[in-house]
Amino acid sequence: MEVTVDEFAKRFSTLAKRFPSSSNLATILKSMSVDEVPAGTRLIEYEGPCSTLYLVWEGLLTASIEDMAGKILLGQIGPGEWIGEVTLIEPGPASASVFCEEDSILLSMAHEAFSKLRSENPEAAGALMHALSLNLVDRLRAYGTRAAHEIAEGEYALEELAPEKRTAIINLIARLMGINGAK
Amino acid sequence: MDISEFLLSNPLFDTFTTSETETLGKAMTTSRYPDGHVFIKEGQRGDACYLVLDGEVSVTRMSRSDRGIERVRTMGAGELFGLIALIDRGKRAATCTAVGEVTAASLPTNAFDLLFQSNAPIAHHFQFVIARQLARDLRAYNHALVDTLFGRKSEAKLLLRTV
Repeated sequence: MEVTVDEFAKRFSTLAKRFPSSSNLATILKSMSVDEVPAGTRLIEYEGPCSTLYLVWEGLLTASIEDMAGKILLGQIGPGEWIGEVTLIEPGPASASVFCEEDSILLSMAHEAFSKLRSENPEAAGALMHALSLNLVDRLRAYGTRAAHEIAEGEYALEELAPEKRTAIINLIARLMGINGAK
Repeated sequence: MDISEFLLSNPLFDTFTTSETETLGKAMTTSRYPDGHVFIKEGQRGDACYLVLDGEVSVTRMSRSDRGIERVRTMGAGELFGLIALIDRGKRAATCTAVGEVTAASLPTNAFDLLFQSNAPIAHHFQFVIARQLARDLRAYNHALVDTLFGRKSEAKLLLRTV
């Protein structure tokens, strides 16, 4: 399967709008893989090594966090959304686990491909970095909001909260972590 | 102080060549600032980013919990600040003030823009430095947030208060 610049710009309109121009999109797309990933595949392991940006072309992913204290389902990542912008730039432990909920078609760029793009076509890599940096800044600013601070300062047990309050908190956490806010 | 040598020894700039650190050093202005100098004021538009060369800079912000001004962290030599507003041209997220005398190098917004318009390798390397710093910050906050949810709260809360 081949994804054209126009199709990419339509499907990932929020991201595409953040590129200084569309002229580099074709080069960036050539650095990406397009893969069919079956339902049930664990793409990312919470706290495991991660270095890849995934963009959902078709299908559905779910993101969760888990440890000895339990598991929290954060949300879903569907067509037009993406995950992994932090780890593409700076590989490291993942902030959440990500599963394929449905058979999915994913566009992906590994850190190695990103490094190669940086050395072979710095202008295109710069355009991608510009778009992703704007997203990172949005998320950093979201961490500075009153709602985010109330979560950080709160003394509560998530499982003991009323369902509506629990859902609201989890939705905000998901947004802070770049899930369900990418469309 | 020779900024280019300082940049070469800073891990943040490990992708820079010697000539690139010299170019960036020339685009930056080194100054000594007195105790109490306000580099950046929360809520105002930004016109530069800074690199601390010597001394300490205190980061404060208005509390989101109506508790007045909170001192959230102190930065030292080698740390960059003023990056968020440099990228999105929004308002400053915090106030940064000199604690004692501080030597810092500033890169004005217009010099930053000229650097990027030049499309030179140094521009892309500096862009990567900024993106990497933003990514590191975001990862730290994400992990702190998860820690608060799973009850590993004390250090995590401290970190989240710095956002």
